[in-house]
Amino acid sequence: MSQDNRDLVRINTHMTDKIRESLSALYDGQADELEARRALNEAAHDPALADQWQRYSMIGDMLRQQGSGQADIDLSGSIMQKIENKAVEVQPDTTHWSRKWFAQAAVAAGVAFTLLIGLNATQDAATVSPQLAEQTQIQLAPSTAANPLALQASTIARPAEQSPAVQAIQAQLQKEIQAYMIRHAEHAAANGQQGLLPLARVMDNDQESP
Amino acid sequence: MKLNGFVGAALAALFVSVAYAAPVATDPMAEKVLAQMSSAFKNRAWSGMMMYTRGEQSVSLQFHQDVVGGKTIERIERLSGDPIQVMRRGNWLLGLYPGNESLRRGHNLPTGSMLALGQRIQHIKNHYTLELGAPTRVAGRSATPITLRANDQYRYSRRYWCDNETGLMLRSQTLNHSGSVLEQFEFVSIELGAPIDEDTLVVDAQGMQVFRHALVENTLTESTPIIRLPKGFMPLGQGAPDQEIITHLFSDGVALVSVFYEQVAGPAPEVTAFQGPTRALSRVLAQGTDYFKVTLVGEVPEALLKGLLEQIDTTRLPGLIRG
Repeated sequence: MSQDNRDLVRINTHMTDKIRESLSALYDGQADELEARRALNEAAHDPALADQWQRYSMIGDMLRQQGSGQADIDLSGSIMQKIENKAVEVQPDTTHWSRKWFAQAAVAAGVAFTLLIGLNATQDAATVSPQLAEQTQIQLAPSTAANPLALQASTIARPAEQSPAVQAIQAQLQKEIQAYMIRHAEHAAANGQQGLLPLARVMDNDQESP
Repeated sequence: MKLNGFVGAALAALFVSVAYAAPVATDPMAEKVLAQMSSAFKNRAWSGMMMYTRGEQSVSLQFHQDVVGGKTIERIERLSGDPIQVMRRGNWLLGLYPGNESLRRGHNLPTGSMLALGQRIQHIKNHYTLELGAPTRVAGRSATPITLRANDQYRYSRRYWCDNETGLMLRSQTLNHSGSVLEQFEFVSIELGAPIDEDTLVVDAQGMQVFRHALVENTLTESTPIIRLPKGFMPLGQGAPDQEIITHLFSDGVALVSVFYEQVAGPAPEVTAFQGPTRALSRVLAQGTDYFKVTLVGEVPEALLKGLLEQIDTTRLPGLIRG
C-alpha cells in the first residue's frame, strides 16, 4: 500500500465520508437540496447512517444551544481530512488556557493526577486577596515526604477543617498546575529522544473517562 | 552551639562528598551504548507493551513505531482504563479520547534543535558520569544497563537498559539523590523489525475526540528573562511570541524544563507540586504595577527550579509578554 493510501483514515466502516459530510452539512445548514435528499435517503436504508444522523442531530442541537462557546468543535467533515489540512479554520477559543489544557487531558482522558501540592506560606498575606490570604495562613500541609514512592494514590495533603472556599481555591490551583504538567509532558514527547514515552507520565491513571 | 554548627557543617560536607563525589571517568563503552540507544529509538520500526510505574501507580501501554518515507510515525495507547491514544504523525501530535467524534484545535507545541548526537553526548558527560553495568535480561532480551549518574544536585540520575542487539531502550529509571527510584518505564514485550500492520498506524477516529496539536520548530534565542542558566542547561525551544502564555524550554541533554510566563491580575500564593520525578513550581512576580506568573516544570530536583526562578530578571517580563 502506498504512503498516500496509508494516510487515509478509516473513520467508519459502514459509511462513506461523503455521506457523513452530507449529513453533517445538513445540520450545519450548508447542504444543498440534492445532497440533503441523497444523504437522508441513504440514512433511511442504513442503520449505521441512521445512528450517525441521530448523533449529529443531538450534537447539532447541543451546539446551537451553546452558541459559540464550543467554537472549536468541528463536525462538518472528515476528521482526518481536517487533521491533515494545515489550513483548517477554527474559531478562536476564549476559554482560559489552563482550563482548556486541563479539559483536553482531564475531561477527555480521565487523567486525574496524584500529586502533592503545597502552598508557600511565606508570602506577605497583606498583599493577597482575603481568600488567598486565608489560604496562605492555614498552611496547607505541603509535601513533607522525602520519597514520592511512599505516597498513596490520590493523596493530597489537606487539613480536615478547610472551608469550602479554601478547598475550591486549592482545587483550582491544583487544576492549573496539572495543566502545566500535562503541557510539559507534551513538550518532552515533542523534543525528547524517547518518542512519546514521556506521555506515560500523564496517562498513569486507572480512572475512567467521565 | 558553635560545636553543633560545626558538626552540622561537617555532616553536610560529608553528605555532599558522598552524594556528589568527584565524578569518575565515564566508561567509554557506556558512551557507545548511550549513543546507540539515542539513535535506535527514532530510526527503526518496533512495537511493544510497556509498564510505567510511579509509586504504587502503574499503567500498561502499547507502543507502535514505524518509519515511513523517512518520517517516524508513533502511536501510544493506554491499555488500562479508557483507550486513550496519542499519535505523532509528521508535524502533528494527535490525542484521541473516547467521546463524540470531533476535531478540536489543540495548541502549538514548540520544538527545538537538540545538539547533534556526538555533541550531545559530550555535553552530557560534563554533567553526568556514565557507567556500564553487568548484562541482564529485560523483556526476554539481553540488555546492558548504563547509568547516567548526576554530578550535582541540579539533575536526577538515570539508568537505562539497552537492547544488546539494537540499542533500543528496554527499561529506564529516574533516581533521586539517595538512589531511590522515582519512576520506571519497562517494556514487558517488544517486537523489533517485524512489519507493523498498516492499520495500526492510521488514525481511527471512530468514536473519538481528536485533539490536534501542531509541532512548531522555534529555537529559543536570547529572549529569555533568565539571567543565568544552571550549569549544563541550554535554551532549546520556545512557543510563538503572540500566545497568551509564553513558553521556553531548556535542557541539559537529558532532562527537560518547561518555563511558562503569563500576565495575571494580582499576587497569588506560591504553588509547588510533584509527581514522581516531575516537579512544578509556580510563583507570581511583581514588576511595577504588573504581575506575572512564572511556572516551571521538569523532571529535575526542586533546587533547580528554585534556582531558575531566582535568576529571572523581572524587568524583562513586560517586554516578553507584550512582545
